[in-house]
Amino acid sequence: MLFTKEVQKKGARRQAIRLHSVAALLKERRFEGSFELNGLRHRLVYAPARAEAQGGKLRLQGRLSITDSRGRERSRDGVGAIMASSQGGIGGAPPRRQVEGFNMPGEFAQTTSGVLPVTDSTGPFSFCGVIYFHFEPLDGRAFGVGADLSRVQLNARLAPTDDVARDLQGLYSSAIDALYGEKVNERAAAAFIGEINRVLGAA
Amino acid sequence: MARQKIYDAIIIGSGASGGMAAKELTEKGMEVLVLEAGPPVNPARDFASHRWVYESMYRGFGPPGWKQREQWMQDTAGEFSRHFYVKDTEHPYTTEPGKPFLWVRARIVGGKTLHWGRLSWRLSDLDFKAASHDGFGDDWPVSYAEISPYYDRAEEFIGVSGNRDGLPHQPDGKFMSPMRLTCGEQLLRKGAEKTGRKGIVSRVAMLTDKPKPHMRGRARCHYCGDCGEGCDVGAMFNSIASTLPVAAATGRMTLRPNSVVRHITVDTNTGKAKGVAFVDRVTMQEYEVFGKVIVVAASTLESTRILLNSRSRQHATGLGNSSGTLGHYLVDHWGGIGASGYFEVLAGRDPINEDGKATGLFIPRFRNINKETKHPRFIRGYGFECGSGTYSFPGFARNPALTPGFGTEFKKRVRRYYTAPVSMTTRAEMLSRFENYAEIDPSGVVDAWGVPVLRIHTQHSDNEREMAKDAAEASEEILRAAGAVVLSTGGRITVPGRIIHELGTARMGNDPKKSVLNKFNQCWDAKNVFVTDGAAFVSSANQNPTLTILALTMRACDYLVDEYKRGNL
Repeated sequence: MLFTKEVQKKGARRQAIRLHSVAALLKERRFEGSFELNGLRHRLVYAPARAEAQGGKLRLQGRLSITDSRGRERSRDGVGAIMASSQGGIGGAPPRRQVEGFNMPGEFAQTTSGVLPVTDSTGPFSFCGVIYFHFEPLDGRAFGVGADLSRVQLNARLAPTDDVARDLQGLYSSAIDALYGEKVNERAAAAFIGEINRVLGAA
Repeated sequence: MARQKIYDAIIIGSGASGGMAAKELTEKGMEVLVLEAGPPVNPARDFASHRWVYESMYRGFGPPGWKQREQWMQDTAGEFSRHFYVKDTEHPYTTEPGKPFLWVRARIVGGKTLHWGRLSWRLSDLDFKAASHDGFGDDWPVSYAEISPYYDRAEEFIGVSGNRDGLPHQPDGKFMSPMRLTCGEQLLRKGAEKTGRKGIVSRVAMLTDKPKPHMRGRARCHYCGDCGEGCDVGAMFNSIASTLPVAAATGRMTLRPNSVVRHITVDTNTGKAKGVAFVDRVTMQEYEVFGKVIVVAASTLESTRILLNSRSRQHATGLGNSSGTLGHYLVDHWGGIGASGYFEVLAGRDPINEDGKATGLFIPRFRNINKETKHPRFIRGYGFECGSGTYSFPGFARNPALTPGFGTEFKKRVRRYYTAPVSMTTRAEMLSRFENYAEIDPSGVVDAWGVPVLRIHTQHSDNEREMAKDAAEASEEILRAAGAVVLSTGGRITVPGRIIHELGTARMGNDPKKSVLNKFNQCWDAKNVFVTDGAAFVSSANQNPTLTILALTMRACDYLVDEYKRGNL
């Protein structure tokens, strides 16, 4: 038998729908994605203008635009997004810039008997595949979205198909390694973030 | 207000373990609710095992870029099977920089049984008592003698094709007729034997003989070769064809798809589980259901995620975590190391269709079985999964070492070597270590339904790397002994998760201070909670785990029902 009667959770009244997350893809310098609410599709674009390290975390600031199902776009500059966590990429790694004195985290084993096989996508072959950001609390009405946007997570997928995005994936990966890896290296992080800002500002 | 229904048991998950639990418990008279996070399955619509790639404008590769955009971790998903798998855009998880994990997940009724590899091996006491053998880690709280009757029952119910090979560390079972080896696989077997190893036919959960009376609706395998796209004749074991129909026929199973479990709810007075809170995947409506027993079978990491998210006053760090081991001892088999080449003696022969056979040659573990085979640089062992034959698409044509150039000469070489490729790849044990673990992501990352996600911490150790070096050398040795021309050897060890045999994180044990479950998969901290999937494993061995999961589930259900009838739950 399917779908027998369940008890609706106690106290579960009809509250405003909460948007938990939006998936977006890095295209050149911007994260472009979409989400669906009440059967209507909205488009989201987040264009970071600036990156910085704040309290040991990667923080972006930029223009957030949401286009509703009727094509009406609403935007706001200076929207902040703080990196919560990341997901390691698997497969072909982007080119990684080097900073003196900084080694990428993960394993790379050698023994006295010679070099042992390594694990794919670790150490020098590692990179970031997704960055999970938390937007600052957003006003849904201001963006024309009838939902609770107080804690929206941006699932920022790094799968570049253009050179700018590929460059940024390498830089974001390096900055994350420096800030969130086993050994935090603030100097290296500052260098990588400086490079990110150079690329973001080059538009 | 209507009275709330209280089920005898709520089962979370409808895959190998969940489906088997549903069958066992309903057959024994229990009223069961199965909660499945994914959508329902319509085999006529959803299975594509008889669909040719040329029926799609994308020729089986799917719309350009789909995988990198939406399902980048779903390694085995293809154009015709991608609906079996989660969308990574909706199902995040996080990892430490430099330590990736590849998490392949199905979310559909039937779970990973819809596309699994079907290899079905028994563990032996070399595996259950590995710690006694080599001093590392912990023994399982069960022995082969205790599990063997359940292996018998599992094999007889699902149907496993294989040969009785007489290897104590690869125990024989109750088999249907073995699939035959191709010419190349026979050559490879001879090569293995020349080097002192054994080569045996892989054992697979597929019907190769007339279905037994209880296998209603299932048919013998007709070698179409597209098992991973959904078997629409029920020749391979999956929940849809095998366990769920039996459970449904009892009239005591309710199956609710689209039910994303948030956590198990707990009676604040007793600390026992009382039900499950879930959200409808489609409508986002919240629900709570009640049951006297909860069986957690959502697949290793999802089960542990649910337990970790089930915090309460009595279970402050997660349900079942008084030992502090919930989430720890995560393992996955590893591969990626091996050798490939071709048999010149088979080149240029008339091609025959050899890709319908969904199995190949297996070279069982030959290291660290006894004193004579003890290796000085690593413990435990590995086997080789091997194949040779003519496949519908000549994948080797991408190898410039074998088919260089282009144009007429390239085509001639492809046609010549079409019938001759051979490859060996490792399936190896990863040591169970406390420091490989999963936790709820501390930074608050959630999935599309607002359920906190896992942060996974894993890396290989020198034991795996030394084993990989040995495996690379051994595979080349065997290939050469078989008379093959070797084109490539070695490789990189696969990222943890890639083999899709993630195990551990809610391990069984004899000591409640060092484990989450007792020897019957029963949670030490909440006796009416059972975890019956791969999360319960103490170690991975090198054998594929699903048959052991099925056997453990059957055994746990026998115990559960007995305890339930005695009023002990």
